[in-house]
Amino acid sequence: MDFLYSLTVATALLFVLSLLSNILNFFSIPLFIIGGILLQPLLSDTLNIISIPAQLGLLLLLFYIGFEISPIRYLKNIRKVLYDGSIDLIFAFILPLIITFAFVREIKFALFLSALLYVSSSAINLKIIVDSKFAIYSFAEKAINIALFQDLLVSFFIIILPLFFVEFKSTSLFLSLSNVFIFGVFLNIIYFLLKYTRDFINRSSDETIILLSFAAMIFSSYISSKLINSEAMGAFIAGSVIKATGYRIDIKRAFAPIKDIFSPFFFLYFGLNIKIGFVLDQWLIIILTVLIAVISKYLVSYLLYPQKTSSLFRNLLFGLLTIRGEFSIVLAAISINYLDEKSFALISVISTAIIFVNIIIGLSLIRVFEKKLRLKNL
Amino acid sequence: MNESELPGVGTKYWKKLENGTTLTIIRHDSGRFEIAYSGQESEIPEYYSEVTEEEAIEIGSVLAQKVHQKIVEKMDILVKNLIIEWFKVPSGYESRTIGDIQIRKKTGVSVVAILREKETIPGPGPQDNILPQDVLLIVGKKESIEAFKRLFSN
Repeated sequence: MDFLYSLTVATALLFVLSLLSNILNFFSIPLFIIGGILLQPLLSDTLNIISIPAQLGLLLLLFYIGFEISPIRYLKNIRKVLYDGSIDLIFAFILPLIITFAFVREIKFALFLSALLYVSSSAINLKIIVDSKFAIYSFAEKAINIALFQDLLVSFFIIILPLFFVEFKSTSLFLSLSNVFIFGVFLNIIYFLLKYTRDFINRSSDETIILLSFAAMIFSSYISSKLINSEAMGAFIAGSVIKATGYRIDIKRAFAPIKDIFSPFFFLYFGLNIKIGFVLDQWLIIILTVLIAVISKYLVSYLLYPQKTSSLFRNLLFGLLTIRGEFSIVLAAISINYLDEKSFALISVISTAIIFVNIIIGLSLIRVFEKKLRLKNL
Repeated sequence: MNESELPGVGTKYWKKLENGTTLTIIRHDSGRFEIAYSGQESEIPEYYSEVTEEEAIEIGSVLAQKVHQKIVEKMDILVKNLIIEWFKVPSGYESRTIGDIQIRKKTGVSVVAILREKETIPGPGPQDNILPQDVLLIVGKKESIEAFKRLFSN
């Protein structure tokens, strides 16, 4: 298939889906995935070509997550973050993990499934909190505390899970452990190189700094894919390292347009690879999982707002927590390295169903209940 | 005033007033402010308004007038023998750390902050670099400031 023709078809499709999301006032991520699923027969020839921008999109998303996560953010509200986050962790992660493991008896599958059920979309939540003027209310603070706690857990999933499940290419345990050690040494070298050349690099042009950051992301992903079979971890850690280096330009802002171009390709490619035919007979599990995703977040909202008088805030917190987004899809995509074909097909269908259904439920709740707050605003 | 960080949004300040009502202020990272005033019974505000950065400065300066007066009186005493000055590092200057230059030992001047294009370094330590074109906020006696300027002109 012609390279430019494939890219033309894919970008045109992404543009139409993005436009549709604006018209429907709905988030674009589920539409990109659904678009990919529906157009599988038409775009099957373009898969190899789309996979290149899609992989860059995934790396950029992970680089961004690594860039965003900063332990300093937790220090000021540490008690509240730990309290709200722990309730969410117990009822929205550990409980589903136990239930899933009891049914499937497969720890990798249960861990990835519970992880993508658990993680709400902090990006969507923050946008809603600012746009709907929720910041003055305590439920918004709780939603942010939970999002912060989840950020830590996402780091855990991205860094620890690949190490935990890594199927090393070498057969000897000694060589496998050496790979992990070499990767650690490599990261330290990169960090010190970037840190000690910072002043020199800071005197260079913006273009040089952006290219160096991009190269660090790609190189780190390459090394981690070769050593520990997880390019995700390399991109994620590169984000944290570049942030700690402290370049004079705002890398996050500089990378935003690149991420906005490539991440839709990742979601489209994810949709194109979903094999619904593989999991049609498992429709009951899919429905039950979507239900668990909703019920667990209601339980968390109820425990944080048990009084009858605060039902309005409970419903709004429930609305915010219910919404899942890019994190769930990223985790589902990472699981491809660790699960068999059928389990990955199930995980990808479940993650798509969860974000689609939960965004609808979450947004509907917020739109219904926020009116009660707006009436009071002067 | 109680304070809590809302990462990605801004900072929330709130205070329970003597009459039992609550005043909440949100300072957004974008620069705008939200002010809400809620009664004793409910968290839902009775009064709510968005405030621009300029309006917030104006309101804040009126409310803080009395406090400012006290601070300025104290500052007058403190500043009597000291000079606070901005100093721009010459373009031909070779980058070195504060510790290497031994600024305080050689001149008696303290560097309070470094302003560098989009970056600000408040309270820099001996490990922090001084680069050409940096703007330094320095504090010291008159003769110390002169010695400092001589050091950089050499």
